[in-house]
Amino acid sequence: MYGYSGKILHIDLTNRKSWVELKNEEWYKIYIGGVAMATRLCWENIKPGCDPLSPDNPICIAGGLFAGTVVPVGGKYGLASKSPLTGFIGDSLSGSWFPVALKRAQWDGIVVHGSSPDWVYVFVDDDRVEFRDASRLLGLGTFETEEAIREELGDDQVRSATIGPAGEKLVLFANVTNDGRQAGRTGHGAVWGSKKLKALSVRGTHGVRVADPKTLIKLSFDITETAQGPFTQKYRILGTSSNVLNLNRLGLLPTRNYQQGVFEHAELVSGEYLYENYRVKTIACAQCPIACEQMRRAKDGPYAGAMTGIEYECLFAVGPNCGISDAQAAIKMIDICDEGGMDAMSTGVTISWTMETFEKGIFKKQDFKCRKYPEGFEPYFGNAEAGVTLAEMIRDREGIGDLLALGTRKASAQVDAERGTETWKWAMQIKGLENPGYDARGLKTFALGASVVARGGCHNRSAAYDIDIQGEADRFTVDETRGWRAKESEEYAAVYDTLPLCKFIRRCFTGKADRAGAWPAIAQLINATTGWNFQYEDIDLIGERACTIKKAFNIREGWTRKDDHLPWRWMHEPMKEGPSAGYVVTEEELEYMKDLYYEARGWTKEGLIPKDKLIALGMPDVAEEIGV
Amino acid sequence: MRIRIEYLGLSRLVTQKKVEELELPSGTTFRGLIGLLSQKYPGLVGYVIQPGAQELQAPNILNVGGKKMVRGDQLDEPIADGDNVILMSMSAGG
Repeated sequence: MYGYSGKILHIDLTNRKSWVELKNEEWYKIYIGGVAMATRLCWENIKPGCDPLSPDNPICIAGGLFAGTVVPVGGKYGLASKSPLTGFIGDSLSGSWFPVALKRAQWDGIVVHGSSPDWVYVFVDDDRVEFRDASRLLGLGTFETEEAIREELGDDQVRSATIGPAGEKLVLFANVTNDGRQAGRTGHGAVWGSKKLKALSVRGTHGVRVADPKTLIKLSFDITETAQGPFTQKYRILGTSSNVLNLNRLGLLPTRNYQQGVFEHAELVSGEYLYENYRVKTIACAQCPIACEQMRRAKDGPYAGAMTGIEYECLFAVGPNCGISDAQAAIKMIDICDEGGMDAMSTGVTISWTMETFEKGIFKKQDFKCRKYPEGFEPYFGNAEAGVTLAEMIRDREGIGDLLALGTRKASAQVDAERGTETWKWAMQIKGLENPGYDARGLKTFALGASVVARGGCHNRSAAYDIDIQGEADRFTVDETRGWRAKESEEYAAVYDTLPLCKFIRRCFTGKADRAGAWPAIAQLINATTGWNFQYEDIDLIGERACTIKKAFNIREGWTRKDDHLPWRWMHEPMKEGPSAGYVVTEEELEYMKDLYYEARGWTKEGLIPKDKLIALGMPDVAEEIGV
Repeated sequence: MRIRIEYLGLSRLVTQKKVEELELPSGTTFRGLIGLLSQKYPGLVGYVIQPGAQELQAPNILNVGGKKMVRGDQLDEPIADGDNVILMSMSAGG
C-alpha cells in the first residue's frame, strides 16, 4: 500500500501493553484519515454510552494522508473521543511536526485505551512503545512539557502532543497541544487528563512511500508557488484576526456575550491594530508555504511579555465578546489558554456568560473570591483584569473557576438549579460546545449549518457562513435552497478535514475555491500518493462519508432532532444596532431549514439515517447498528 | 457624486487610510471604482486588485453599507451617490 503503512497502534494504559491492528486498503478508501478516520476508530473502540471521562472512552488519533510528503499544508492529524462537553463526537484537528513524526514512525493511527493509575507519558519510538513516568511534568504548561520531554529523551526530533494544567484538572474544554498548535475544541485535554496521560511523544525515522513521486512533486511545487501569492497574502500579513473589522462592519461580531454585533472599540482589538503595535513574527506549520500564525506580544503594562499566536476565533472570544478593548489583556488571556492547555474560544465565551450573569445581578462580587483578590472582584464587561483573572481561575479550577470549568451549558444548569434563575438563556452554546465568532442572526445559512453539525457550535465543520457572506444567498432570509447549501458546505469542509489539508489552501489549486476548482487537483494528489484512481465524485464521497460517520456516532450516543438547536438568544433577541439589527432565527425558520437539510441528506424527517444509505456509503456494520 | 470608502485589511496597509471620501462621475460602476483605485494606489494591484484593474483579487470583495456584498456579476452596477463602500476581504477561518 502506498501512502499508508496499513497499521494502527493500540496502547492500553491500564495494563501497560500495546498491539498492532492491520487495516486493509478498502477501509482506508472509505475513511482516508483526519477527522473521518479518527471518528471511525472511535466508533470501533468506544463502549457506547460511556462516561467521556471514563477508561471506556478511547483517544483516537488519525494521521494525514499527505503528512510527511511534499504536499503543502498536509502536515495535519485528526483527534477524536467522546466529548465531555457535548456527550457526542469530539473531533479536532491540529497540524505541524507531530503528525509528520507519526507518519515517519509508520503509524496511520493510534488508539489509546483505559486509564493509567499514575501519571505517564507514552513514547512511541518507531515501533517501540514505552510508558514513562510523568510526575515531574505535572503542572507544566503545554510548551514547557514538549521541551521537557525533548530534554529528557535527549532528542530534539521527538514531537509531542501534550496537555497543560487545565487538562490535568479536567477543565471540560481543555485541549491538546503540539508544536504550538492546538487540537483545540471539544475538550480532548480533559479526556487525556482523565487517563492520567500527560503527553504522547513520537520519534519517526522512516520515509513515506508514495505511488508516483515525480507527479506528486510537480503538483506540489505548482500549488506551493500559488500558495505564496495573493490568495493567501492576508493570512501571511494579518492572519485570521483581520476578521474582526470585517465582521464588525457586517454587524456580525459577537460582542458582550452576543448581545450585540457591533463593538465600538473593534479597532483596538483588530488584526490591523495588533499588526501595527504588537507584532513579533510569523510562524508556519510543518509543510506549510502560507505561514498564517501571527505571534503577538504585549509590550507594556501589567501583561508585558505575554506572547502567543493570535487567531480571530480566540480574539473575538476574549476581546469584543467580553467587552474588552485592551489588546494586551486579550493577548494575555489567550497566552494563559495556550500555555495552560484550554480552548480559548470556550474560555472566552464562558467568561462572557459569567460577565453577563454578574451584570444581571445573579453573581455577586463575593462569588469571585480568590487568592489574588481575597475580597472578590467585579467582572463587568470590559474589565480586562477580571478577564485575565477568570482565565487563570478556570485553568486552576480555583473558586468559581471550578464551576466555569464545566463550560456554559453545565455551569448555567447548575446555577439555575441552585438559584432558580434562567442563565441558560444566555449560555451561547450548541450541543454544549461554545459558539464561534459569527452571529447567526444575520447569517441564516450558517444558522442551519451550525445547528446540525455533529460536534456543536463550530465555524470549521460547517463553512456555511461563506454562502451568506459572499452574497450567494440572502443572509437575512431563508429559502428552499438552504438545506442543500448547508449540506454541501459541510461536506466541502469535511473533505479538507479528512485528508486533512488546511482550508487556507483552497483557492490555490486553480484560483477558485469551489469544488470544480479544487476537486480535480485533490484527486490527482490522492492518486499520486496512493496509486488509486479517485475521480471528482470520489472526493465528494469523502465529505459525505465523514459527515455520516460522525452523525452515526452521535445517533448511537442518543442524538435526537432536538439536539440540532441554536442558543435561545439567537432565536428570541434581535440585535439592536448595525447592519444585522432586527433579525433573529425563528423557531419556524430553523425547523423548516432542518427539514430541508435532512431531506437533502436522504435522512428521515427525524434526522436518522436509512440503512440503504449507509450500505451505499460502504458502512454495512454501521447500518446494522443505527440504520433505520 | 460623492461616496465614502472604508479600507480594511491589506487595503488599509497599502493606502495608509481607514476611510476617505471620493468624488466620482455620476454613473460610475464598481468596476470603474476598482480602476480608479488602482490608479490612485498602484500598490493595491497584485494583492488586492487583479492586474488589468478590472476585478478584485480573491478573497477581497466590495461591500455597500455593511449589507450588500458586491459579487463578481454585479461589478457593472452603478454606485449610488452617498454610498458607503467597504473594501474588505471575505472572512474565513480562525
